[in-house]
Amino acid sequence: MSEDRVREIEYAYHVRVFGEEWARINFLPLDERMREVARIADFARSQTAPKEPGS
Amino acid sequence: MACAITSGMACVALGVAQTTSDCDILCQPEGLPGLLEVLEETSFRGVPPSYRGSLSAPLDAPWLRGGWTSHIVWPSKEDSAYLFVFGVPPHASPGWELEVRGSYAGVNTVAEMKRTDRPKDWPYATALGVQMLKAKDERGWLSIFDDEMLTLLPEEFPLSEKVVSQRPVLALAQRQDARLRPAILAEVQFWQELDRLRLQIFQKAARPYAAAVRASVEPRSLRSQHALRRDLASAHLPQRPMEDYGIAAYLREARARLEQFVRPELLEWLPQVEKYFTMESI
Repeated sequence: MSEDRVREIEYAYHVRVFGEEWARINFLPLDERMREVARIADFARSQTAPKEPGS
Repeated sequence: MACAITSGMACVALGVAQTTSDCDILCQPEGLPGLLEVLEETSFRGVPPSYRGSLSAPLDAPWLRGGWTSHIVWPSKEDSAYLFVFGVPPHASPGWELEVRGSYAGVNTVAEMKRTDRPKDWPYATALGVQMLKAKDERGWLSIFDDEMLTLLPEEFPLSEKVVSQRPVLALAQRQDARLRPAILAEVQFWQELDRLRLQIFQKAARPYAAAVRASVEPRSLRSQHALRRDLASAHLPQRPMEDYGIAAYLREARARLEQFVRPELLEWLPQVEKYFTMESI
């Protein structure tokens, strides 16, 4: 297994199905990833995103 | 006693981030009295918890062991918090409690729980499957549902006969067969039919209980709500609806539904799913 090749395949998949922004976040270290998700959730909330679960 | 965060919040920790407004947890049924005590003492923005909705089963072993879920809410004008409690992970392998890592369910459990009737969940299963392969866990092959990934990854990770026997579509990936893509789509549709039928079975079984909950006056405290729901469940909520329906009948019905819209030659590539629907895993 070539780790670089696997990372390339994996990253391309994340970009294709989740988009560039989520792909970038997914490859961050855990603490930075948590902060980014919280930032996005706060922003969505500030834009009156739906509050119902399962969304 | 094991209790673990699963679904969306576990995905964030596992490197497949998403935003979600609810927290799903798995809790071994024998740990539910302890969980109830913790919840009673936990407020959110100064608000105490309540049972949510008429379909929520009591947080009690006989029902959660049979596949029901309990839904708890901390209702807040600004920002409510939601908790879903599973006693067993739906359509997942038994033994989830042995794979808990810290506060989170194991990656295989989370990936298997993502095989739902909602199309948006499937890319998460695939991404988690790749992570498992990177961690040298060959069960990852069972959670990858993208034809391009299944074409590229056999060059990087070993694919054993044992795994191929559990999931025949992997044989198509091994030999770069053009039927791979339609076969995967048929496989995903099969899982979606299984999940859709499972939910329909639970919804139908819940009707008398849900009507009784709606007709009652919900007490204020979670403990009193719990006592009321347990009484109503004892009278109106079957503990094991999947067992009542029959696992063999359930699998037959899901396959019959699939056969209505999938080409017959693709059915031979469907996976063996019986092991995910034993009485211990529903």
